[in-house]
Amino acid sequence: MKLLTTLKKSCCAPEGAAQCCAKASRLVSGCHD
Amino acid sequence: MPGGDRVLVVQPLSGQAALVHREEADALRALAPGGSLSASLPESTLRAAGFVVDSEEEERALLAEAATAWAREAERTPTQLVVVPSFGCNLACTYCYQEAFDATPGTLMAPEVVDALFRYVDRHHLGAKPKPYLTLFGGEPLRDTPAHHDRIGRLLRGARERSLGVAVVTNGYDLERFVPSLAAAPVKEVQVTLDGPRRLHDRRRPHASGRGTFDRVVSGIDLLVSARIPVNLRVVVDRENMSALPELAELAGARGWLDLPASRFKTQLGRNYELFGCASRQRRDQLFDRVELWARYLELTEARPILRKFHRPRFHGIGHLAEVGELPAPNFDACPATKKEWAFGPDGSIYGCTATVGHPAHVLGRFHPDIARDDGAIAAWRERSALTIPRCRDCALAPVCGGGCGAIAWDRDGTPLAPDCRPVAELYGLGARYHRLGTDFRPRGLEDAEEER
Repeated sequence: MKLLTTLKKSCCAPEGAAQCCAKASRLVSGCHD
Repeated sequence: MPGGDRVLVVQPLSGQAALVHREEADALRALAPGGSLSASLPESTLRAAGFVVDSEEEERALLAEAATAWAREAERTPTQLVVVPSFGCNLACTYCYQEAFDATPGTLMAPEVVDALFRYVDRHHLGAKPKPYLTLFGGEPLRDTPAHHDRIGRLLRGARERSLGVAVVTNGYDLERFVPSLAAAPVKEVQVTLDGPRRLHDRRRPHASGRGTFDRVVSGIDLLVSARIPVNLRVVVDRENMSALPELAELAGARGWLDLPASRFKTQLGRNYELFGCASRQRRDQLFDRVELWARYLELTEARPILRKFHRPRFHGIGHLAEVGELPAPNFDACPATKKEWAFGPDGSIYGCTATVGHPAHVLGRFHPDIARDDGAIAAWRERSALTIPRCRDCALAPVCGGGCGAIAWDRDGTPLAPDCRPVAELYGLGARYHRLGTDFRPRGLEDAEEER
């Protein structure tokens, strides 16, 4: 198995959540196309 | 992944993706009914990535966390206020989806209706954060008549007075006459459609008089580029023009468009879909479904690499994964109608989005002569997401598909609370191949950084 992403650490810990769960990306939207 | 023995595993709730061998994928699938983990699979990684959970409770916690991330993203997304100054158009495109319900062609938004629109925007949208933006849409908003120049001038002025961004969707035919006012506005993006080289574009998107439009549209794009107005070049693709895309890419390259940064020039390939019935001159057998479109594009790109410079499809976030090594935030709602999008007709009617604007069954209220909102109908649209559509509830693809387009769902099922399913798994596979997520994969951003060092 080859992981393509980086594992996020202790995402469920409140003190870590702000940084490690934050994603800079925008929503992927499709609408009717 | 098409053409290989690897399987892409994605957990959209945790934003993790991995490649496994086919037999490992089978072993993972066998876990669903409650089997035990194969010794060949790394248990700690599978658990940390959220590919494997022990209980419904653990899965619900992942879902709740993903829903929070989605809500946070949605809060950062500005609302698009789509303004249709007129449903009239100077072109006669063979696949126009509006021809079926456009009852009042040529009626231009009156000056007092423009004033009423801004009063409505002030009351209902101006306080929103982030600030909404206006998109001029049609019909065709940019037509070279004194009345159109007057109304577009009023709309641009109203937006500027409120510091609202403006985007424009145009066929590009009369751009030359509008570029000075768009440059002064300023406008954040102009979407123009070019369906291929001259012979194909002119056949698909002729002027109402029958003459070609290609040369004027291309000159219009050049003028936008010269004025440093960002261009979003749309190509509506079906079997008729797909194979001519490399020719269009060469034309775009020769004019210097492909050397511009993405902030000044980008492209989109749209499907020629049938919204609310059939366009009268559209050949049904020419239409692509989503998988066919992108499979054919992938094939064409492998034969003609210039297409990689022309358009890099995203494949539901696989493009983002290839660039930065991270999946985008989950999206439980692909339909922005009445949440992140509203549309306003020239007669003072309010609609939910660009797909429904002008459709008599989708009037959600009025902003002129008086303000009136159909709160019941609006609530039905606002409620729509993959978390509330009953048929989406047990779908593993819901955090990526987002329930698709509400207008298409309504057309099929008579309610927005129905799904318009997207072939996410197939598109992931095509995306993995297009973006070369092979065993030696490294995010492109990291490769670039290393090259710079």
